[in-house]
Amino acid sequence: METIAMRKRDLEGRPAASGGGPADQAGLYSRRAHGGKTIYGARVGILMLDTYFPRVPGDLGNATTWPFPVLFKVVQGASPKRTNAEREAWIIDAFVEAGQELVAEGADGLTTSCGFLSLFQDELAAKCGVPVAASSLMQVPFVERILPPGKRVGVITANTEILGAEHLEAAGASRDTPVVGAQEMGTAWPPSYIPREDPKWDMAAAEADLKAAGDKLVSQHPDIGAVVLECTNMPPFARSLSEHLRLPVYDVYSFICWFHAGLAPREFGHPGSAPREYRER
Amino acid sequence: MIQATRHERTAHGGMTVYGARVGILMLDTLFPRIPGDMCNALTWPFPVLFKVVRNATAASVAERSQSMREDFMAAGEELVAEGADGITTNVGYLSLFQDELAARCGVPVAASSLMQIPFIERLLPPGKRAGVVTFSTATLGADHLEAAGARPDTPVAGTENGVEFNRFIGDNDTRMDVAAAERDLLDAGRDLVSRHPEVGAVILECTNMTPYARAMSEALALPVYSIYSFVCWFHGGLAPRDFGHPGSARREWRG
Repeated sequence: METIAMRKRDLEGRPAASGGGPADQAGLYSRRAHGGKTIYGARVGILMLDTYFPRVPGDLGNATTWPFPVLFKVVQGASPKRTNAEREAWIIDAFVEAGQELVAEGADGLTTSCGFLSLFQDELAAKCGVPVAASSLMQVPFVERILPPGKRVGVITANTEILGAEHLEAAGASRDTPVVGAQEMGTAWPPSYIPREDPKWDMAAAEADLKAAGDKLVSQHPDIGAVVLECTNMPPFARSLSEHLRLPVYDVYSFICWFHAGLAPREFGHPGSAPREYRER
Repeated sequence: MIQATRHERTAHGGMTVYGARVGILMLDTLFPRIPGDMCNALTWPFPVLFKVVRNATAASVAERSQSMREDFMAAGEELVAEGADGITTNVGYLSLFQDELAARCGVPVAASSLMQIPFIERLLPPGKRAGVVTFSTATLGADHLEAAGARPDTPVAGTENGVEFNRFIGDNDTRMDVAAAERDLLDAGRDLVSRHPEVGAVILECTNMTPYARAMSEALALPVYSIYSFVCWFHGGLAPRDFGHPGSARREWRG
């Protein structure tokens, strides 16, 4: 006890400019709040493709999925077909503009509702000025690093007719990453093909096709040590797929929870945390 | 279509302990580990398995003791046999053990918070870099960074000039002044960004720094990643969340 008391006296002699942490200032300033944006508490902004198919709990576009608040913004007119298949040039600009709006409103980081948008990563980050986690595919090199030697990551995508080497490279993954498309296994994927007039999705069929895609991936590549799911509609089935394949499964949910954990580190309370001024930026 | 069958309540075994997917290899220490520290069980939003590597100290890490290395490998293998599906450690410098631990234990290994550096750097706007706050800039070498996949010229600052954080850990003191430790951390963070204005996000190397990650993020107005963010992500793939109906159906139980 004595040594701690003596140490504290030493600390009190230090100039406040270099040593003055929030704990020191608790008495005077701890209830001052800092502004600079419109909406607080939601650190991740989600740029949504313009879709109408169902998004169940676990889907990136279902608000109950997230254990923290998020901000959604729909990029009007950016349908999956126009964005990913036809690649209309105006869409990247619309994403940038919507991303800038989200940042002005309160987002401190951005993500998107489509794994193919690794292609938008650099331009979004450059023009919105905040960290961007554009695609679940960006986890591929990170996951590969944690696997035992000789094991590699396999990707399951909603549509191999879209996913090419450029999407993988934009995500920092090697071009020869093993990929299987859930659309090869039946008619449930991709959900963007569901007709607008009758927006129903058979979740059991979607799960079965995803597991079949997983089976194909590991039978073709016995060295697969973990799976990354490209599509933001897949996290509802990640648990079931992980049990089925007996492999770790990473998806946009794991990615964005990690992303958020750095944007807003968890407050662990007493004694690590002291009263201090309130700020998000 | 997935059919519900009379087998759906079958449970599968094969190990001793269930429900704890991450195993944590720990140094043999007696200093306080408050909530937020990796080796306070309250820190984790999911169950974990701890294993203390006997006689492994901060000094043996700095000295790169070969016998300690072997003890870590053996302890990792024990954790996997008991039930862990992935392994981590409570020392950021043990990025040096990543490859051998993964090879020996045969499961995914998240040895060091430093391994997040290249991942974070990829998310930042152009011109921005990830910077590290470490326990000791003298101990943290280019080989620790390279083993974590980070560039050797990654901006780094240390708490070694502080008064409390390195003292209570170095002395293995059973008492610590938490407020003073926090000040040391924030000083190191301010030093990092004043010398390297290009830093766009901070990675905390040391697993005892996590309780102050929030305060540092607010003080520097930057994202701060730690062993907590890393292992929560790690766990998110080892045991993906079950979102329930309608995405999830009744099925056999596998731990």
